[in-house]
Amino acid sequence: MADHLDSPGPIAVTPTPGVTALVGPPLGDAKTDITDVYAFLKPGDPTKSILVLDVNPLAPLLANSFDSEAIYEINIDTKGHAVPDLSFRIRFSEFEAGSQTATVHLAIGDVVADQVTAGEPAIIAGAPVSFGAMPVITVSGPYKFFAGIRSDPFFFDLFGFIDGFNFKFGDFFKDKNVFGIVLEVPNSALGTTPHTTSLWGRTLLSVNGSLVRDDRMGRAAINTVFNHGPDKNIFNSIDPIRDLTALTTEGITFVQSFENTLTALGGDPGLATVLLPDVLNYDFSKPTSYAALNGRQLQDDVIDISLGLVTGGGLTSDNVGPHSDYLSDFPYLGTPH
Amino acid sequence: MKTMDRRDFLKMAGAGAAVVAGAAMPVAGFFAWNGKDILRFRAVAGMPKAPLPTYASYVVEGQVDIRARTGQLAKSLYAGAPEAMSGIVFPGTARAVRVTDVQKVGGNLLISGEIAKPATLLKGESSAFSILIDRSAGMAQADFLGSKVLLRLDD
Repeated sequence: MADHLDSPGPIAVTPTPGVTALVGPPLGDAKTDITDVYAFLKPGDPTKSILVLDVNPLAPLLANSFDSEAIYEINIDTKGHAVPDLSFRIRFSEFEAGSQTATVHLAIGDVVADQVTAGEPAIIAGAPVSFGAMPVITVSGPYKFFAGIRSDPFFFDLFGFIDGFNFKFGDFFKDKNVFGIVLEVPNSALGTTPHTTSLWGRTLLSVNGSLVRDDRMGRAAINTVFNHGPDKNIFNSIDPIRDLTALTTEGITFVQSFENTLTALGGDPGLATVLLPDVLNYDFSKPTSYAALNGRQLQDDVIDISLGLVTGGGLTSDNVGPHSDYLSDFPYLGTPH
Repeated sequence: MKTMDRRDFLKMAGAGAAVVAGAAMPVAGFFAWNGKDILRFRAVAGMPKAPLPTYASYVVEGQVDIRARTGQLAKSLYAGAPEAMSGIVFPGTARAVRVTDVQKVGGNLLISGEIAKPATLLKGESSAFSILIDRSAGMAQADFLGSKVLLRLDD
């Protein structure tokens, strides 16, 4: 529920002026439903970073492969302007005879905005997707890559949230799986300005020959906790640079909407402009800490941290903690259940 | 999320993975009488309540024989708000309810029952279940994991 099973959903949105929000089937597929995004320094080697984009909640129940028509992106903003300057783009072959492969391109500069493939160097090619318990890892130059089914690292009392912050049901995700995409990259690949670096996950679908924005995520649970109804899909369809100015279906800005929710929950409305744009700040020259708004580790209790912030300290915990199945080495995500 | 139709549901249920149901499939006449004694209904509530955005839909549906005071209900928690409900049932939330009594209370109908497999209950969830149906208001009230919840009756 960082963003599990939330929008994009099977609902059509009437686009607001300036917003291209093409939603409805085939959008809303679990294969491209982003559940979480992580970025942390490689344990034991702070010259490298681990980037994780998880999709497909409850895997393999709703989907048993990656979408061969989609593009899975980890976008990197190196200048603090909420625009991607680099993009790790992952594409998958068709799922055939129980197997699938991945190719990773690193888009740099002007091609990032164009979302095209021509001219981009492939940093990983033909990497097998893991469908079993043993992770298949591909190494290419300074990069390591994994994609496949793993234990969902997220932890949260989901039913407690649904019951209105009545946290007594335990960790819904302790026996769930996701499809994880994990990259180990040298920090040098993320640019040279760590203090202004941030990232977010994005999935794009091919619809009638055009690429359409499907889902996106920076920090945990932003869309789930703050956006209502069709605003969730509008939020997914815009880029972070528009988070401060785009309008919700009520005609107010997302910032104003966030301020209203924060006020109602007892939090500081001023947090709205900290939470937006929805990007995961990641200064790789410093230790990773979600509490310090710097990256996100698998074991970071993002829900406890967020609860304390959005309720002004009224609630501080959902009474569940990190899983015990994280691996100490690449790809770090635990063995699937 | 991808919406699945009832055929998909039956296929998955047959495979032992009854987590995806056909709730998103439009069905005409949720609230209907079959003769003068058999009532069919569906009641839905968005969860959680404001100021939090609605994330899931609590659905209680089924059929009761008012004269015989019997029937079968199903209650489930679906992903998505009522206006954008998916066909995905959150694992561990689907319940079959065996109706044990039906009472007319004023203009309302009080349906009582028991969860068919109490071993599956979540913490705080009772094996006893009841739903009060107020047809004139188009509303119902039922228990959700220990809390009372107002649901809207679907026509």
